[in-house]
Amino acid sequence: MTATQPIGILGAARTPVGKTPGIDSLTLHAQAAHAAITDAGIDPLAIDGIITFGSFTRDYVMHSAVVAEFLGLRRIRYADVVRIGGASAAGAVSRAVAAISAGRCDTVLIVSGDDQLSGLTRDLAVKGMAENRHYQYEAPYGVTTPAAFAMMARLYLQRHHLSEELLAHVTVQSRRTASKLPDAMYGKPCTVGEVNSSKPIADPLRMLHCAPIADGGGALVAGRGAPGEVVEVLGSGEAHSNAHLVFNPFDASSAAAASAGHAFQQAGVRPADLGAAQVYDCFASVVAQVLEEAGIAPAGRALYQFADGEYDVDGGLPVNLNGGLLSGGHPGMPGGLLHVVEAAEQVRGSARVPVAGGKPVFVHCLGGIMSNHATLILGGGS
Amino acid sequence: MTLPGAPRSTEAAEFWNALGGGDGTLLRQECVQCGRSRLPRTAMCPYCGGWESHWRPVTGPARLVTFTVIRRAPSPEWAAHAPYGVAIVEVAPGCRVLVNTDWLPEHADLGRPVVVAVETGDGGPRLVASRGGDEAVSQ
Ligand SMILES: [Zn+2]
Repeated sequence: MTATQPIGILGAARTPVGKTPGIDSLTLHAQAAHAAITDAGIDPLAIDGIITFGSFTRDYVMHSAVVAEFLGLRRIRYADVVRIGGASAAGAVSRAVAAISAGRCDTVLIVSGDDQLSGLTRDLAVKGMAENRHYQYEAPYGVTTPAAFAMMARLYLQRHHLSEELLAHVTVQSRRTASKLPDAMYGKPCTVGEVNSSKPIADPLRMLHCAPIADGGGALVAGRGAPGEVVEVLGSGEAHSNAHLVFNPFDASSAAAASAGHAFQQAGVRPADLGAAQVYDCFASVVAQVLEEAGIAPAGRALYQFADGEYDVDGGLPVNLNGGLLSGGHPGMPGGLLHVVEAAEQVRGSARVPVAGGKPVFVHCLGGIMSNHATLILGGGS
Repeated sequence: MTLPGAPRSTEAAEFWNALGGGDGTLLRQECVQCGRSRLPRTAMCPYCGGWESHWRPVTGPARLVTFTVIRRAPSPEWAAHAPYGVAIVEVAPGCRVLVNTDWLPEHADLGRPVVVAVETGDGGPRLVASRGGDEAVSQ
């Protein structure tokens, strides 16, 4: 490793995602970290930086220090906890690159794992209901996370004169993609009719528009490596407009557009150059919204493109090749990492369903109620 | 059961005191420097960076920005009310609040004028939107 070598992702791995009772959050961190370090082929004692996101089931004030301690890492020079919700994973990668570039450390472990499904006690469920809800302006009205995303989806549908039945095509594409994988939590194809007759949650969102909670974790090792051996961060962007729905400025151009726009500009890449895209999909509506905000899909057309197979494995731009959170399962804080891990594998050509063909891969992670965004464009790995 | 109200706080004391006071007045925050309004309260004006502001009563018409009807409630207490409507209402340009609706909104209701009333909830005031004088505003 020399200081002139490119900085990027050296290792990427995920734990099984689904229902894995009896494996707590710290153990999931350790499993994911072990797998990513093994994948990177580095000496674990060389790790001198760590970034974590905290935990839903077992949090610590000094979370990254606790994880480092549990792993046995004693030579940390850079420890950070990134707490920008679902945007944390992509945000952590750009912070790791910056820290290495600035000489703060050489090798950063980014890791997250949570037993969000098996570890969900009644108290935690209540805590989860309050998450992202402003205690004065929002909580007294019985508003849930799906309800907040439903209100954003409603605006999107109205702006483009789209029927809510069209949202089903995102889930149908997700299940179809997941069906090509051996281990997806929901790997059975489904129909538009099944989605549109699934249990209503908060109009226009139904059960099959919502990512099911799961246990799982993911990890990345960032550092310098020989060109061709490191997945380079060609561009990154980040944008935050607010945290609670009621503070959303409802501007014509959202923070998602700003985040993705900066990443494309920095990378010198256009949407037409991409080989694949990983878009954080806590709800089906979000994927269409982000693809349009990022300039990948024409405004108001993404849902029709989902219906036409544009985002299928054999389509023009394959999207969410790990089945995303919608079909792969959503472990909460580690959710974004699963998207970055898949993107890194796509760039390297080591993915289970490789489609990128050496082209750059777009990753967009989001948190809050579509208010907190981080984007990566990865490439150069093969 | 009485629906929950908003607890008071010092971070927007004047707003909550007016809302929870006898008259139940909804205030907007007006920037001294640029004159633009905002809600909920922020310490600084997001438009001009000014730190001084006045509170003014909301007077103009309110409009439904977006809504949902919650079919799956977050708790047994709310389940007793389900389905129920939640909406974002613009009460003045740049000023938005989250409310419950006293009817189950449909897609065609987007952008429609509404009337926001202050009610007494459990532990503090709460806001409810109604369609108001339907015929009067639709003309
Ligand atoms: Zn101002």
